[in-house]
Amino acid sequence: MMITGGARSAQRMPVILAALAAIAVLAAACSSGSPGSTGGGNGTFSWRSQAGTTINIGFSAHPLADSLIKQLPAFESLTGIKVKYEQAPEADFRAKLNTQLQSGSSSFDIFMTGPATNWGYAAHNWIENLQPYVDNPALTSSDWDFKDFYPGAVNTNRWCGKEFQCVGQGPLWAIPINEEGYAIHYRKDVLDATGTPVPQTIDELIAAAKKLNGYQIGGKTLSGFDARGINNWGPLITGYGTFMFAYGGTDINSDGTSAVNSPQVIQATQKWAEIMQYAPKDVATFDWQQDLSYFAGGNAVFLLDADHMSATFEDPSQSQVVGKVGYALPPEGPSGRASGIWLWSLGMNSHSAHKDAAWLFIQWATSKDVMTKTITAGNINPPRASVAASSTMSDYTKSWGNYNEIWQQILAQYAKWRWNPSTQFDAEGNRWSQAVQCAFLHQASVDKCMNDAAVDINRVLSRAKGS
Amino acid sequence: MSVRIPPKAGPYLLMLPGMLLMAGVLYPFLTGVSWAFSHIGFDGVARYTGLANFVDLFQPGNEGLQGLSTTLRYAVAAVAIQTLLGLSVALLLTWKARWIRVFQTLVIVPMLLPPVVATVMWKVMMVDRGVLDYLTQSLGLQSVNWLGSPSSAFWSVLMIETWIYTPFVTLLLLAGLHGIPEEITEAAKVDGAGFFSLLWHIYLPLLRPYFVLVLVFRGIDSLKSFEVIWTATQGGPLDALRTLHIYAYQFAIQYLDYGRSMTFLLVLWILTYGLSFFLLKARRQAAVA
Repeated sequence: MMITGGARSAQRMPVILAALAAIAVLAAACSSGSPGSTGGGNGTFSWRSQAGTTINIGFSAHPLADSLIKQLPAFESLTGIKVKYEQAPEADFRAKLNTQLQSGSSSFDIFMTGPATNWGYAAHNWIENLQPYVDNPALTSSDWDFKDFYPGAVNTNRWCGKEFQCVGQGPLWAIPINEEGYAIHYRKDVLDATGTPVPQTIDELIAAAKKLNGYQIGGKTLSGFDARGINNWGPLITGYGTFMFAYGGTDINSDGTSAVNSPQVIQATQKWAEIMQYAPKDVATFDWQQDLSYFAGGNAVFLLDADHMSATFEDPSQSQVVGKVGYALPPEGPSGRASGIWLWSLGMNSHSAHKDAAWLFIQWATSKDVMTKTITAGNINPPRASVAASSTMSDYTKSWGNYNEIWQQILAQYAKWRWNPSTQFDAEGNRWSQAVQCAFLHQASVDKCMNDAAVDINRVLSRAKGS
Repeated sequence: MSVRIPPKAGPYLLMLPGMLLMAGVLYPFLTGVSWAFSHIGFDGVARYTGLANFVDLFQPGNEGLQGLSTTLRYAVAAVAIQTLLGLSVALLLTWKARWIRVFQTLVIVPMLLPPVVATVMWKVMMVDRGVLDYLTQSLGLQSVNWLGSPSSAFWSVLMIETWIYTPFVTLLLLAGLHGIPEEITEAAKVDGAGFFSLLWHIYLPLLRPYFVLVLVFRGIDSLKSFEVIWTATQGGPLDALRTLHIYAYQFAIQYLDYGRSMTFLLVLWILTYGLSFFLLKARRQAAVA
């Protein structure tokens, strides 16, 4: 071997570069960069159109992910597409996904997402608009029946891309596969034993939580109340959000400034600070896992959080309160009842090299048949009307008291996304939740907590406007 | 087959691996530095904005100064407590009793656990009505809201960090204590020196190089502390434990704002580099003297 500089190799260089460029162009042409570029070549839909392709999916740890993973062999044999997946707890999953999307990586073709996360992804052009796929008969099976999805669920995943505007309009960023509204979960045995009626209003809920705080049953001393209290935006769309919107609160004033210190929000936060006195003392550390396991462990009388947590409460392998839980609508405030909504959905990486195969998976996973099958694996609250009304859903929940009626009533009448879309929603929401903590931990008066937050959130909003 | 290398190319070829290594280190670092002075738009392009990120974050009341203050308080408290505790345990372990060997083995157990696992273990014990609540109540003490209030969470997380990292300080100082010639301590004892005289006049001066190492290693690690804080509290309640590192993580991973995230990290890097530079310089001067 000789390491020498030479004119011959210099002459060869353009040829080599040209060859590499040609290979790159061919490789790019072979990958499907737009809907329909490889699938359904003859214009008709076929589940086998992408056979031989391999796709990668990023799942957050959730019953819906578990239920889909169990059915992957059926998808592989139907389509001939090989599926690889990764699953991680929600925070770790988001950290990994966001890092990969930021780097332009196509390592995940499909990932679990939801309304608040869609906005950042859409603004950065990391997530694919799925409407062209839905509309293309060569890519979408005629029996997929898009109209079967609850319109509210689908529209929550639409956003035009403008800060603080037009959620529910424009491109479709993901297809919903799991819905959650927010309900009062209560201990039937405790309410029955104490003759306490099921609370209907916020004031009744606070009074009942106060009355039953410290109630002893089965060797346990119960907390009156349980909810998320952590300093991320989770509480804003769950328990705290039901109070805030029942008081007529909103996130943005008409002049574009934060409404975190509006009279309605301050009143709601005062009520929230009041009821959180009957929650466990470390409720400020409670995310969804903690408040769920606290209630499932039989430690609280009332829980205000996702209705589909019932799947855990009614599972004897995970719960000490099986058959003891009642479900009620979110409590009423001066502006009526309100519930936020969260939709776990499947989105597609806009850098994916296998978009048509990815769409086949999304379509299959959100089909009536597969969505029905996931119910019995714990993926309850299907966002398809036909599946929600199916005997599978009613049979699966028949021993859960009034659950099946309550969740559908919440979805039909009260649940909706109530926050203006913003790419800075995380920063805005986290600061808002800190103010709520400030209030219920009595770090300052509620007014001061919310006024301080308004200054910071307005700064965050101005960052968003300047992006 | 022969390999002919021009004589002038030889030195450069020898330098090549080192230069590649330097490039591997410097390229990501300098990219991060450039991002700290940029706004990264939705198109992923970094646009130079000068000091705008620093001005935005490091104004009174904004995240930067708050994060800097929390970082410094956390690091100073962590290093002070761990040094004091580490020295105490190291001195105990110099006792010439047979049973002390058992403790020499046990003392490193926390170091063998991954910090996240150790933190989760403590977090479980610190929940409402958990093991620590039971213990405090059994001792007739008032129940503590370990991680649920801003003031106690700061000290609770420090406690976890101390449990994990004090053994490292102990081992380092124990090595230093073993390095002190017995003749010196025996002579001092003959002259009537008690324990505190030995500590003040013999141990502490002779351990000075080891204290510098402790300050460098634990100081840098405490300034950069992340896994214990994030696992235990995610920086809360409120912003009780939002250090520069926690803010950097949140801005990059949660808010997708890599420019401001790198601004936090650049300030953190200056702190850690400054600490190591001045302490190691002091160590070199002490060695020369």
